[in-house]
Amino acid sequence: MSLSACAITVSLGRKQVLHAVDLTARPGQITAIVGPNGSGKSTLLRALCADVPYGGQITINGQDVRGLKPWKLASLRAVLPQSSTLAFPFQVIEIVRLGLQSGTNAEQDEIAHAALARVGLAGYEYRFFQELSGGEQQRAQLARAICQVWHPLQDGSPRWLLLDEPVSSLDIAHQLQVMEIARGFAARGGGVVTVMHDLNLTARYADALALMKNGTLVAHGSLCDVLTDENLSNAYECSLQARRTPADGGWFLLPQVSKNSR
Amino acid sequence: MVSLSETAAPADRRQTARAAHLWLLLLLGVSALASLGIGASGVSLWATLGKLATGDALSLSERVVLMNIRLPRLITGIAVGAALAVSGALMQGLFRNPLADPGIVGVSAGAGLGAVTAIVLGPLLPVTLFGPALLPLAAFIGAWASMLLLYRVATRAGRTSVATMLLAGIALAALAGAISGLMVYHADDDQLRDLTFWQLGSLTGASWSKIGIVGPVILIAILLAQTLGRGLNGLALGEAAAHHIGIEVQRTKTSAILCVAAATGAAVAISGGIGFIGIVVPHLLRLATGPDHRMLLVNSALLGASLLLLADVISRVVIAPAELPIGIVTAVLGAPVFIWILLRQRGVVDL
Repeated sequence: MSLSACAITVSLGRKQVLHAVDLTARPGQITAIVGPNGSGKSTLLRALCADVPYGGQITINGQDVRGLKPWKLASLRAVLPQSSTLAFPFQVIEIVRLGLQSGTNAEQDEIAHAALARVGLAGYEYRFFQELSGGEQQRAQLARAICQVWHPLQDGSPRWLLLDEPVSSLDIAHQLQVMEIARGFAARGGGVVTVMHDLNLTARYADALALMKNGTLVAHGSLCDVLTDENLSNAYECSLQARRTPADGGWFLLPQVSKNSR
Repeated sequence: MVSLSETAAPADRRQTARAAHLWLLLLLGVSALASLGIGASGVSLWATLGKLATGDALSLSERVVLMNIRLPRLITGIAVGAALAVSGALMQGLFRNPLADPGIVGVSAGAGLGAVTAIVLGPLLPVTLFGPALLPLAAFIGAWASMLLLYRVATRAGRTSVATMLLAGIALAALAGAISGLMVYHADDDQLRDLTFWQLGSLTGASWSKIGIVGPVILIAILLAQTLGRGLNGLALGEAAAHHIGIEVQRTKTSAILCVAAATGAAVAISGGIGFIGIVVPHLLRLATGPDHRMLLVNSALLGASLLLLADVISRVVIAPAELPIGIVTAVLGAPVFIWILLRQRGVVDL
């Protein structure tokens, strides 16, 4: 039971933006895709979501994504896009309910309310989505996504949460809140694959890393394997050091500024 | 949870929307009675109903007026009103924009071109193809072609530019109008007569035979439209997000386009160009009960039918015994609403 991508290639127009990327994500973990701007990390996520045509094979829990009907795929994984525009004045709870598979029974309704509470938007149910701040909208969308994968599948196999820069428009407190939600989802047996921009936040929360550069995977594996000074400096083309805090052994990254440029 | 649902209940628009089903059904009933009871001939519905109840025979004039004039007109009004309102709601969902309407963006004009072509060029066909169904069929093809063209032009990667949509609609309507004019130029006297009556845009020509052809098409289109509610709700989030929550995006879009083409084509074929129903009805309903398409599509059919029946009654009484074309009534009522929406949108949508 895993989410795995095998030899994924993606071309946008004539330009090939992903070159034979292999990625495996395990349930119970947060797998973060990191890399500099334009390295293809968002494109990789979009391929995993089956949003763009791709070469290679993507399987979720052993099922080839390409052959799956949208509703079947939606029962396996939920997606939080980086940004979205909404037509029509929907209320927050109506947006969250869109993540529910079908029906409007009482139990399903409670999931929608619980999902809102989990993202810290309890009491926002009947506000208009468009009147929320950017960060609140992002969290409401997250509530919609976690609603979709609230329970594990009936045979007990994991569901997946695919997040595209989930904290990009959030302040530090809400960044932590969203990452805690992702961690909680993984702790309950789900799998999380997320594109991340902030390396320090990633290092605090991710269980596995995929480091990308120029459409290829530079390093893939545990934090110890990926967060080497060499890997980082190579991928980001600047001097970066990964260290662990003495207090709890958590990772942090420090950019090295050369003395000459001061 | 109990306290939450108790405090939340009044704000949940689903209940309001479900209650609206009943109120609108009631309104439709009242409108239908008004439509049956009011007319130039002075035949009283109540007197007739009384006769029916007591078993007295109806006079010939009463029977003809009710059964062959007002009843077909009532059914046509319901069908056309529901078709136009549902088409509007579908188009707005598809284009993700409250300003889309078959009349405004040229789909009705396309259907009209199809109808005119059928009237003028139909007799040139070597065999009588499709008989009386030729006109609705041609109107459907015209509406479908303009829907496809409009969607291609106005929508890129699932996002519709409002300005492009409205301008492309104007161009499309102008083009369809020009070609229709060319057809009219070539028409002979009998055809001109047909064209004139058709173009008046009214329910005057309603008859059982026309209902037999057009009614089922509209019924099927409206019923199929009811299955698209969740799909259109998903599209409101954008095409990618709709796919993520399990919606067959392409099938939803294709079905919506076919439904609009069938409903608009059939409505235009039987009643000419009646505008603004498709924009006013969904807009009022969205204000009252929210944009959830599963509710909106049902309520649009009911309110659209009622509104068109009432507009028809108005068109019959204001200059009685003559009749105002119903398109004039709906335009007078609807155009201000369109402008109102446009003004409200101006801040949000960059035209």
